[in-house]
Amino acid sequence: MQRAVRHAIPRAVFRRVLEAIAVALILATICFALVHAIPGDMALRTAVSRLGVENTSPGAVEQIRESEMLSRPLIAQYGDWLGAVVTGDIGRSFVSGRPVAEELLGASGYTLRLAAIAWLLSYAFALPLGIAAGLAPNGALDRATALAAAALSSLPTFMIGIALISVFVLSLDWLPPAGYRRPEHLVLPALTLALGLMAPSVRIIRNAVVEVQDASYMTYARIRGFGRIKAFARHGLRNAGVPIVTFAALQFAYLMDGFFVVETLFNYPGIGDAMVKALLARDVPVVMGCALLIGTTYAGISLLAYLICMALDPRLVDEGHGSR
Amino acid sequence: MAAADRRYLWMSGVAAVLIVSVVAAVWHRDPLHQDLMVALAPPSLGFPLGTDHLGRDVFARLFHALPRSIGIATAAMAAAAFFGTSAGLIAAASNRLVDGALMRLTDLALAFPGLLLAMVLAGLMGGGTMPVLLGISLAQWPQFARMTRTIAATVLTEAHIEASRLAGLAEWRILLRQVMPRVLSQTMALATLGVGGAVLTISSLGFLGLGLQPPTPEWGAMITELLPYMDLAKIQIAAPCIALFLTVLACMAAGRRLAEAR
Amino acid sequence: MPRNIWLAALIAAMFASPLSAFAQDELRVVEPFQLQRLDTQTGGFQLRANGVTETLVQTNPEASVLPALAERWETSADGLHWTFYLRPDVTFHDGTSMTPETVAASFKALLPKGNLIKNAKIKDVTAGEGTVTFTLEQPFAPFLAYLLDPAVPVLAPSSFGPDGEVTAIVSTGPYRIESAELPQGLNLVRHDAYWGEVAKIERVRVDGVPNPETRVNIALAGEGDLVLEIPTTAIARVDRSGEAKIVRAPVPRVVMMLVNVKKPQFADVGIRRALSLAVNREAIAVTVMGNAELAANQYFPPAMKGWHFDDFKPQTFNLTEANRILEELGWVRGADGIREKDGIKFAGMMQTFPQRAYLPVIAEALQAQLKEIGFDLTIQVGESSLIPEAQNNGTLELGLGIRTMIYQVPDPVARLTTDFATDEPSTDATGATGWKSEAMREAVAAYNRTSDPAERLPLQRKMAEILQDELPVIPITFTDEKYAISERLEGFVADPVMQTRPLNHLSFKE
Repeated sequence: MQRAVRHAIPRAVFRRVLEAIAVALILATICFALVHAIPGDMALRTAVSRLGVENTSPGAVEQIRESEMLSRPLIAQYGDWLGAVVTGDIGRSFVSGRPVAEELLGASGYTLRLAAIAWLLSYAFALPLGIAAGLAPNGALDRATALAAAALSSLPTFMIGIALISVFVLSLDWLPPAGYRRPEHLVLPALTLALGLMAPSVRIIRNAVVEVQDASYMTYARIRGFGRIKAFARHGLRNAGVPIVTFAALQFAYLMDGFFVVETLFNYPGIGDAMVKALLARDVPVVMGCALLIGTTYAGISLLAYLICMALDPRLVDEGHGSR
Repeated sequence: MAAADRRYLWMSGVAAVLIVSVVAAVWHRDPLHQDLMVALAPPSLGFPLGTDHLGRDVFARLFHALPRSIGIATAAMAAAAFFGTSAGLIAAASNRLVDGALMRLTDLALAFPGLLLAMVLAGLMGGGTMPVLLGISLAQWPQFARMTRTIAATVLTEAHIEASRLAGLAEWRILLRQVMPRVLSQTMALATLGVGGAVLTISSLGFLGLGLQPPTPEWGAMITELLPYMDLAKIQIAAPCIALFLTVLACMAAGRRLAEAR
Repeated sequence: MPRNIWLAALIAAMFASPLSAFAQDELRVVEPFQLQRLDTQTGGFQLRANGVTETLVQTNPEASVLPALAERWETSADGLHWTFYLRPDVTFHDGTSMTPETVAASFKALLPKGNLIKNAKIKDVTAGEGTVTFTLEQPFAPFLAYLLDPAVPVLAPSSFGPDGEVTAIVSTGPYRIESAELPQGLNLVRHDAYWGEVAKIERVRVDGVPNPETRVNIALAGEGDLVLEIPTTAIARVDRSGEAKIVRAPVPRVVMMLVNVKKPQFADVGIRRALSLAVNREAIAVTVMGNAELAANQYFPPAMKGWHFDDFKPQTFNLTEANRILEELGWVRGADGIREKDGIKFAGMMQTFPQRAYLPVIAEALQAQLKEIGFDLTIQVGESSLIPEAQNNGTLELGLGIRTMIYQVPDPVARLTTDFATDEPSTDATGATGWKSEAMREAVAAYNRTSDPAERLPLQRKMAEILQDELPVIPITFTDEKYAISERLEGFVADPVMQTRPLNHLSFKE
C-alpha cells in the first residue's frame, strides 16, 4: 500500500496542476466573453471609471479606445492576451495603467491576510465546539451549538458586520470602524467573516465526530479499555478529519462573497472589490487576471485539501486516482 | 421522518406564506404610497411599525416584500435545480469523457462566487429581477449537478437497474423511472435550503444597492435605506432584519428536516 | 517542531509590511474619491484639492481668480497673447527652482492631456525673461478660468520620464507626495520651501472611502480630522458624537431630471412644464436633503450671482396647473389613471445610479409625485455610464443626474458648453438629450468673446432664461457640502465652489 501511495500522489498532483491551468484559462475565457457579450461602450465605461462620473470628455473616450486598441476584432484581442499570458505577462489595467500582476498581488495580499485570519479564527472556535458537541450528541452543548449555527447561517454577512460595528465601534469605542493599516483594523472584518464561516463548520465537524464515534474501530478501541476522549484522540480525529478538510476547501466560494460585503463595509482593499470594480469598468485585463487568480487559487486549495486527506487516510488514494 | 411529518412541514410552509399574503392583501395601506410629511413616524395604530424615510408604511412594505423575495428565490432555485439535476443525470448516464467534462464544468462553476456574479450582472444590465434571478441560478446549479451525479452513480450500480437493462429498458427510461425519484427527494431538500440562501443573496444585493429596482419593497434594501436614520428608525430597521432572519431560518430548518427525512 | 516555526513566520509576515508606518499626529483627510492613477489627467482634481499641485493662478472660496505661481498677467490688445509674470524664488518639491523654461516645458507636455483647457485652443507656450506667454488661435475671454484645469498643473522636469510621460508628481504645492497606496490613499509630507504659507501640520494621510456610511463611522469614531461628503442623515449623529462637528456650505450642484425631448411624450415644452409643476421640490428638499432652501426652482442656485435671477417665474408646485396643461394638450387619463394621447402612454423609465445615495431616493419620491398627474414612472438603478450610453443611442427616456456647475474650472460656461451647446456625444449623466438650441450656442460663443462683466451679464441671463423656458433638464434640488471636522482641528474654511482644502492653513489645537 505504501508504494501505491508513493506512485499515485505525484501522478494525481500532476493531473491536478494541469487541470488547474485549464480551469483558470477557461474561467478567463468565459469572463472575456461575458464582458464583451453585454452591450455597452467599453471605452466609455473605462473612461468613466478612470475620470469620474462628472468629468469624462468625448476626447478622453476616444483616446482610451485608441490607446487600448479596443476597435480591433475580438478574436485578435483575445489572441494577443493569450499570447502574452504564455510569456507570463498578463497585461496592464485599462483604468489604473499599472501592470495587472502588480495590482492583483497588492489586492490579494490584503485578501489573503484577512482570509487566513478569518479562517483560523473560525476554526479556533469551531473545532473545540464541534468536537465537544460531537462527543456528546444531543447534549446541552450540541443543542446550543446547533441553535447558534442555525441562527448565524440565517444572518447575511452585512447584518453581522453592522451589528459588530454598532457594538464595538459606535457603542464601546474599542475598535476603529474602517481601514487596513493597523492590526486592529483587521479585527472586525475578520470576526465578521469568521462568524459566517463558523456556523456551517461547527455542524460539519460535529457530524464527522458523531459518525466516527459510531464506527466499529472506535467501539473496538473502547473495548480495549481506552476512555471516550482518548479513543477519539487516538483513532477518531484522523478519520473525522477527511470530511472536515473537504468542507473547509469548499468554503472558498463563501469567503469570496463575504469578502465583497466586508470590503465595502470596512473599506478594506481586496480582491473582491478589485474584481467587481474591474467588471463594472470593463477593465478586461484585470477581469481576466482575477479569473486566472480565482481559478488557480480554487484549484490550489482543492489540491491542498486532497493532499491533506491523503495524508490523513492513505486508503483514499486507491479510489479513483485522485478524482473527487 | 414519516411521510405525514413531511406533509405537515410542507403544509405549514404553505400556510405561513398564505397567511402573510393574506395579511398583505387585507392591510389597507399601499406599500408604495408616500407621504413625505409623515416620514420616519414612530409606530402607531395607523402604522404598526412606523414609516420609512419617504413616509411609507413599513408594515405594508415588510409584508409585500416576503412573497416577492420568496418568489424570486424559489424561481431561481427551481431553475438551478432543473438544470443542475439534468446535468447530473446526463453526466451519470454518459461515457467517461462527457461525464468528466460535465463534472469539471461543475467544479468550475462552483468556484465562482454567486453574490459576485449576481452583482456584476445587476451592475451591467441595470438591476431588476432578471439579473438577480440569473445570478443566483447560475451560482447554484452546480450543487444540484454534483449531488445528482453522486446519487445517480450509486443507484445505477444497484442490481435491479441491471435487471431493467437486461429487460431491454432504454437508458433514459431507467433514469427517469428509477433514478429520478431517488434524486428528487434530496433535490427538494437542497432546493429548500437554497431558497433560504437565495433570500440572503437577494437582500445582500439590496444592501449593496444593486438588487430589485426601487420602489419595490425588499428587506435588504429597506435596511440599507434606513440605516442612515439609525437614531430615528430603530424599529423600522429591526423589523426587516427580524423578518429576514426568521424567513431564512425557517427555510434552512425545513431544508434540513427534508434532507434528514430519507 | 519546524512546523511551528513556519507557522510563526507566516503569522509574523501577515502583520508585517504596510501596517507599520503610522503616526498619530498626522492630519487624516477622508474623501469619497479613490485615486485610480497618479497622473494629472485622472488624479488632477484630488492632487490640487489636497495642496500637491498648483498652477499659475488660484481661486478663493468666492471663485475669483487670484495670482499663484504667476504674480500678475497681461493680455495683448488682440486678445491672442497672454503673458504671465512668474513669482521668483519658487522651489519644486525636489528642491529645484522654477524657471520660465520649466513652466513652458510643463505646459507643453501636459496641454495635450487637458480636459477643458482644450477649448482655449492654445497654439504655443513660450518662455521669456521671467515670463511665460501663451498664444491662442482665437481670442478666448475666460482663459484664466480654463487655466485652472486640474489636468494641467505646473510640474518639475523630474516629473517626466524619458518619453515625456508623467512618472511622478513633483509640483510646488504646500504638500508633496511621500508615498501612494493606490487606489486607497496618499501619504503627504510638508513642503518646507513652499513660496506661500508653509503648512503647520507635517504629515497628511488622504484616504479614499466611497461608502458614505463608512465615512460617517470614521467621523463618529474620531478616526478622521476632515471627512468630506457626510450624508444629511448623519449630521445629528456626528454633531452629538463629541468627536467632530459639521460644517455645511452650499455647493453649486443641481440634481436634475434629464429628459429626452425626442420622445413623443416629452417633445412638447408644455409637457415638460407640467412635469416640472408636478414636482413638490420643497418636500423633497426637506425630507431628502434636510434643508427646504435647497429646492431648485431654476437651474442655477441662489449663491451663483449673475446666473441666478430672483425675478424668474419659479417652477412652484401646482398640480391644478399641471393637470390643466395636460388636459389642454389632449392627454387623457385612462382607467388606470395614467394619461394617454394617440396611443402613446404618458410614461417613462428613469435611469439613475447609486453612487450618490440620495438619487434613488429622489427618484422614488418623483415616482409618487408624478403619479398625481397621471404619469407612470419606472426606475432603473445601475451604473452611471448607462445614462450617457442611452443618451447617445437615443434610448434614454428620463434620467436623474447631477451637475456641478463650477467643476474644476471656475466658470460655469465650461460645463454649459459640454451640456447644452455641443454636437459631441454625451459622456456624463448630465445635460440635454436630443435638445438643440441655436440661441444657446450663440450666447455661449458671444460670452467666450468678451471678458467685460457688463457685456457678459445679459448673456448669462439669456442662457439661464433659455434653460428656464425650454426645460431641456428639469431642476429638482440643489445640494450642500457637509464636512465633519474633528474637535482637535482648527483653521478650516470651506471652499464649496472649487472644493479645495487649504490644508496648509490647518493646525491642531494645543
